[in-house]
Amino acid sequence: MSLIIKSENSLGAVIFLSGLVTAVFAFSSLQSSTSNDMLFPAVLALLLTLVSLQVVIKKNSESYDKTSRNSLRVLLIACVSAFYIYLAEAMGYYPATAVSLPLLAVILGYKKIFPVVFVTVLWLASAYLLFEKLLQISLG
Amino acid sequence: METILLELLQGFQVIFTPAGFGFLMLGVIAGIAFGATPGISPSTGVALLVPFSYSMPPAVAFVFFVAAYQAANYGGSITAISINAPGTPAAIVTAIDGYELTKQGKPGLALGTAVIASALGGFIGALILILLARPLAGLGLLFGPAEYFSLTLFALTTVIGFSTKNRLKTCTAILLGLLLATIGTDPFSGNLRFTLGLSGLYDGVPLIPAMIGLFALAEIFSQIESNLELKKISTFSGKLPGVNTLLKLKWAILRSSVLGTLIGIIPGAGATIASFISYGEARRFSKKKELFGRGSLEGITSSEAANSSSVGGALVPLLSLGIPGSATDAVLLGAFSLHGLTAGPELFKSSPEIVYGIFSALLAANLLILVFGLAGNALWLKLISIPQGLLYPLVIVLCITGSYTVNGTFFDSGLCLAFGVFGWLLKRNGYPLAPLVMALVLGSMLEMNLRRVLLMGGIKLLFVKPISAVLLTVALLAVALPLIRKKPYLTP
Repeated sequence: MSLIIKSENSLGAVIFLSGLVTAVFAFSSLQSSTSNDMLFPAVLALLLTLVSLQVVIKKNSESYDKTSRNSLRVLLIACVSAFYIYLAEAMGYYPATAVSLPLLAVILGYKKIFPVVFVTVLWLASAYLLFEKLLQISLG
Repeated sequence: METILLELLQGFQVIFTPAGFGFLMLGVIAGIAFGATPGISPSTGVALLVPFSYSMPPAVAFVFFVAAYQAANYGGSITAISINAPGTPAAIVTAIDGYELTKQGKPGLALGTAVIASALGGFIGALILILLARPLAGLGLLFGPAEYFSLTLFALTTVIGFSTKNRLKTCTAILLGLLLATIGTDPFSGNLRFTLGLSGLYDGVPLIPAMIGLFALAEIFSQIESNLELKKISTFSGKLPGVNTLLKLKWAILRSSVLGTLIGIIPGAGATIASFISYGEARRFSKKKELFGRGSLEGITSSEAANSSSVGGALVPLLSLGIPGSATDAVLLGAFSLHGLTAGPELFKSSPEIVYGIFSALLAANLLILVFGLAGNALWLKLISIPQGLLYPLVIVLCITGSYTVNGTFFDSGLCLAFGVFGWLLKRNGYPLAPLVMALVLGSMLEMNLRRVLLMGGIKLLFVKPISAVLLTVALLAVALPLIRKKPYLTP
């Protein structure tokens, strides 16, 4: 049987490799340790390796549109979200949100300025009232 | 009977406070809005609400969650009927006949039937929950580590049995969830496992940020990728079903509600399976089979009553044994730990006001769903027509904010984002997320009980104890039977 890793199985291959590395790490830790705290993860990782290997080599009838322009948009949204978290940590929640929320809307193709500004201000005011005043949770 | 009424009275004391009633109403409104929005499932909606409950009294917080959970199951029918875009997976079945009626110019009839069937179904589900939860919790007190291990394994294997697509990928998702659950400090030895030196992982993967990421963010990313645009909403005709029409549907409502509750009790089955099976049974019993798929009110009734009643059913194993019956119950299990509580038989002794508050909230929420549903259909339709270019950024900001508020650290927000991207990748490759979340929540329970069994008397204890042996046999059958049948229980 020829083992062909199709492009749609690439995530399966990543899971397989992760399972394999975890299993090797867990079993080697198990041998060097006096406690058996790595036994359960080791067994799980071994099972994951075997099951994901089957996923990888199984003929896959499902087809996925992998390289759509929207996938890149999702990745861009994820990057902006990560930048938003960094900004919130660095300069505070409110300025970071004031910058990131309109930016996310623009990336998603929304171009009307007034509704974006209105929603951003409304969200910031609601977040302040709800978290800081009502629930006593500081957003930093 | 007298005890049950006294317990309910205790529960209603939680609801009839300004905070209790306020959050009950808010939960119903938020739940309907979440359910009506395609892409926000009940589990996503409840996960988004959990961070808001941090400083609430636990009893009020669970009134809030349960009201939203129940209402979200109904909310899915609004867009399913109006624009053929089911707000929740369970509402796919409702769309079959509901949208047909809309095309025939009778959306009011379909929406009215859906809300009445939902409310009655939810009410019957809640009554069955009230009757079954306590006796089952009594049984749960007899459970030791062997029984809990087998029960947890049974819950996870039924998810595999009920998976509709690729069972191997469901298995992979479960194993990934179980492996992620091993991250953190080992409770027996105190050693750190897979924490990569990150102090935020010392107590394990924070459940709420992980669930917000896996359910809400991953769903939003998938929606952005598929670029779904909502259709124009049809003109709303206010004509509701008459009393005679509803009386003709009474047996369909009762049958579907009982069936929905029973299916809901089985861990991993959930509202979607309840709707599909109930719809099939309704068609089998119907005298007007030819109307199914062409605008049958029995079809709408069976789907809606079943998916709403499954909420009460799914709460039975959660409250009695600490085993989530559905993905939303897995989120609730995480919420219990956030509030320093443990779901299961002990909850009836340690915090009865929470259990009875949940019972009463379910009953009251169904009444409010009926009121809001009948009065506000036109409003809900307007609400869901918010442009996605505005809605999705708001949900992303809400996810990041919500995950921050759990522990007051942006590490959790980053983790939520990481889980969101991970969940999106899994989803687009056909891996189901609900089994992963259930495994993540149940993982530590499975491991701890297994290790206790090993310490107490070895693996043979699992087969010597009668309840454990029965559960293990059923768990084995749950995996083996679908393989023998060669096809899943339902084909969507």
